[in-house]
Amino acid sequence: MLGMEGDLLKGHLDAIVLAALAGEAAHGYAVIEAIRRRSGGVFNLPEGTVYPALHRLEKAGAVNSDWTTAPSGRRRRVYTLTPQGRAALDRHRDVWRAFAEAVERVMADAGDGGGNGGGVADQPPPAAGAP
Amino acid sequence: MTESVSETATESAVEAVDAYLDALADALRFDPPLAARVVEEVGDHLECALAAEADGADPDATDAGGAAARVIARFGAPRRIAAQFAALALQQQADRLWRLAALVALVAFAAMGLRRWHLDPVEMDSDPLALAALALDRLAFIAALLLGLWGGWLARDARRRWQPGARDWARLFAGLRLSLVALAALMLSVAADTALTVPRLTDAAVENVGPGTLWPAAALTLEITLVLVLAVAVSRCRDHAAVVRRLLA
Repeated sequence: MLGMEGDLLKGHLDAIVLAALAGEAAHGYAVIEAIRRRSGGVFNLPEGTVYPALHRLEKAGAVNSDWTTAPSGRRRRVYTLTPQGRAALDRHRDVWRAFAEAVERVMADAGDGGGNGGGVADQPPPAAGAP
Repeated sequence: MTESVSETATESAVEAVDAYLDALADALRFDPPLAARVVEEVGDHLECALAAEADGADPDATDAGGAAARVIARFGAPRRIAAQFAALALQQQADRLWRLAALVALVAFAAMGLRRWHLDPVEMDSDPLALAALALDRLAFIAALLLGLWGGWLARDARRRWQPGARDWARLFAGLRLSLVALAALMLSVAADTALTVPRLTDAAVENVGPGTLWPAAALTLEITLVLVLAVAVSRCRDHAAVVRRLLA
């Protein structure tokens, strides 16, 4: 299985975390598990990087958080997407779809021998703006 | 016997997690409330991760120590995690600093207007010292404004990337250094301003204590207070930047 870590994910971490929270509120570990599960194990994030990302998204108003109590009795921080976060996720989705479709077209042409080369796949998609 | 080995392994796992959380708290000691929150959150995460490891492990569960090591390795080094939080906190602190600096500049500008409106102008012909103080006041204020804008622009530029690189950090630190110089210039300007205003205020107060003297006096007091608050903010930001530097090194 191809493991995507580090640089490839860096620019998209915020969008991926927002997407993981889109369904329901979750704590940090559940967010990481959701990302791993939904990516089929391809996105194997360094787990510690998700917490600063959640913190940053919270400061930006994209997520809210509250303390709850875990079954173990330990305090647990649970994150919820805000309307601002949902709007940011929609923007990220639009940008990503446009980028992915463009790369797909270029790659398909290259596979048919009709392309003129180029390094589009090496370039990350443009950022969709701050959340 | 197996139970005893398992208990020992579990104890060693708990010790490893506690040692990790202590190291994380130590790396985040520049911000105690943040450290408390992060340690609690990461503690919950590691507990979940250990439980998941145990679910998928051998029923004898004699490898709890190894599981803790794997869970901690997956999470990342405490310094690395702390550096990300410290960087985020520094960027927010720098933002607040520049907003405060903008407020101080506005108040200083308004205070100048109030003095011009209510007090007699500085007599330039008679006193070369007053003339020098006036020139220093104006030039230092303009220098503070320009340096502050430059520093703010550098810091804002450094924040564009999701995860700042070495060049972005260099720009942010340069922005903070410029803010220090701008603060020094602003303090010089306010000191010159105070030296010019106090005698005029005293003269005006001897004749009549009223809005004509109270407004400029209140504005000057507010100006000095805000500059002192800004000095404290710059000093804290500088200390925080030093922590980030150490964590990034």
